[in-house]
Amino acid sequence: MTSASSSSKQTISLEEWECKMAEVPIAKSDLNQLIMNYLIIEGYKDAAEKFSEESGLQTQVDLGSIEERMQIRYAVQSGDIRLAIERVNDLNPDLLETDARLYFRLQQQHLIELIRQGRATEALEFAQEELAPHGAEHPELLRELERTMALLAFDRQDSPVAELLEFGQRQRTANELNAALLAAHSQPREPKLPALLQLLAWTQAQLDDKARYPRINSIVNPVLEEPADKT
Amino acid sequence: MTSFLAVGADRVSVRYTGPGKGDSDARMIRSDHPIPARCGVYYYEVFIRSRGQCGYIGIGLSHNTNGATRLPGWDPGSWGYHGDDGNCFSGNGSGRAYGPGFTTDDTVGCGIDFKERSIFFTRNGLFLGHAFKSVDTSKPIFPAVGMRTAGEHIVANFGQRPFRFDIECYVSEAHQDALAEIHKTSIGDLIPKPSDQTTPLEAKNAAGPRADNRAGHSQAAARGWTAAKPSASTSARADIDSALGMLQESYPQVLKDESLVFQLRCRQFIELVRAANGYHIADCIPSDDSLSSASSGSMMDVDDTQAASLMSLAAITNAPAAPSKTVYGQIPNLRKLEPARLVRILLDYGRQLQADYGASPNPIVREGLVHTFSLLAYADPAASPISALLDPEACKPLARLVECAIVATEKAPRMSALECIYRQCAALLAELSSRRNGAAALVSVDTDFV
Repeated sequence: MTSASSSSKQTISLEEWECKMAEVPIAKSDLNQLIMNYLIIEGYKDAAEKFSEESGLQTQVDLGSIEERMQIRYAVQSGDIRLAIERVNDLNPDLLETDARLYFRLQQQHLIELIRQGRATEALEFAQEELAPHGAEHPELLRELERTMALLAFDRQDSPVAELLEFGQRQRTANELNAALLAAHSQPREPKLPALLQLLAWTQAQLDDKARYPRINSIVNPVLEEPADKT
Repeated sequence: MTSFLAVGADRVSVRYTGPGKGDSDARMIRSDHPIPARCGVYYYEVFIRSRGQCGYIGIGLSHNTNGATRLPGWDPGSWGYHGDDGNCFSGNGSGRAYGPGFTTDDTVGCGIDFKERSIFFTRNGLFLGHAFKSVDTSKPIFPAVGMRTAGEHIVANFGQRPFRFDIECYVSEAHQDALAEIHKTSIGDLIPKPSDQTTPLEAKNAAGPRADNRAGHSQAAARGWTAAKPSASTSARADIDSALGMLQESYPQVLKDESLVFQLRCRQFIELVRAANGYHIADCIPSDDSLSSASSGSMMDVDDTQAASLMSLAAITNAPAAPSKTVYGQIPNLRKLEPARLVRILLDYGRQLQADYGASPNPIVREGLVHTFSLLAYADPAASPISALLDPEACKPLARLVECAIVATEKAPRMSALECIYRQCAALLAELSSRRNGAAALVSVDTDFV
């Protein structure tokens, strides 16, 4: 915002804006829905159950499947990829067969775990037998495999691919798998709440060009901040 | 200027009735109402019932600032697609090649996409592409049709019948585009940086030195209350007067709650009695006259302590009202006081209470006052039937009340964070679409984000 352009901008006062906000028709059930959606997708099963009970909100989701999904996520996060694959196959036998990329991701994570544990020989065998064959069909996966194998060539600290050993890598793999499981059950992959925050950022940025108005400047503590006086 | 255009009884068909000899015989007709403000995409169609002599028919849009003797597109502020040559025009008479010409029995559509600020046309249900971009959408825009040769005849369809073109599909794509744009938005600016991660209270008070002062005080006040917990040593007492002093300085609105202030002041009196417990109040009443003119002075001779206490009660309740604006936070630290001074403060305080509330029309206040003063009727209040008043625990609910009152003045949110964000988004979308933001007009919080 430059002062030159802002001088022509209209200012909407806090009182005026609060009236507009108060006029927004809002269904309590919509807010509850947003929360429920978040709990289910992020896998807070007990909270979802309790919330369903207290809010009277019906959910079509089998809450039991949340638990299974969370156990799978936990297995990946704790590095037990074998267990995760087993459970995925129990829950959804077709998923890994049809999604080669996802399957590769999990295998890659398993390889990373072997390397982390210093089981180099095992890692090499696993890479050659289980992973390399996929490379022919998916060249981009082969590059990923090469990156992973580079872990064996470097000292951990200076390795250019050290990020693969970080917890974030497990997290990424777990998220990818979680999203795929949700999609397989025709559940949205992403919770809706973050999109609402994006809507907030977008609408505020759009109106910033046109007017001064009470903004929300922090989603951690969302309060209306009075528009700054013209200077 | 003669109209040359006859509008049919259906209000949507128009026929050219003029001589149709030259360009000055051209006429344009606009819809009665402009395109509504909160609109993402607007579309209408025109059926060419007859091309007439030459088919000089222009279909398009126009502001209402230009003349009605021109085809849409000839003048600035108007846009048109012409049937004779298939050219599109905007603000000049020559136009440029755009689509095929149109003639009798053709259906021509015209749409404006407020998100892209572009105008497009269709012919017989086929999209012909965007003809104009960067359209000035800040002023009202009207559907407009122009004709200039004899026999030309059109019928407009503003949606009262199904359209030839699948506008629903176009709108749904525009809707998806708008959502995609929103989903690309970063929320980084709305997340506080780690360096300024503070509790809400601190954040709110970080505005200036005065605010800092307030934060300090509310914490100090809180500490004052915790000191009243029974776990603290017996000498630790709720310092209500200084809490009142802090409130007076930092949260004067809280003191507008007279019932709360009354309760606090009674409690302070009780605290004074607690502090003085163990002394015989009567013994400590100074014999000089400095106590106050209201004191009769004769009660010092009474030996019986019970009576003396009653006397001191009388000393309070008989005192004349001394109206003054109460300033709180004046009582010194009770622990360092010698008995005589403490008792004097106690009596003065009680006298002030009596002066301020003794004549209160509120029976609850009067009763509370009597109840409080009745402590003085006992030589040993701690062993009296009303000793419960002295229980330090009795402070707790009062402390809660003060906390609530402070929070209420802190402009504490009356709604959840989620609701606040939801309402802000919805209010912003309404505001933006009324300002011709096409993307905002295409989305809504409840259908797209819940």
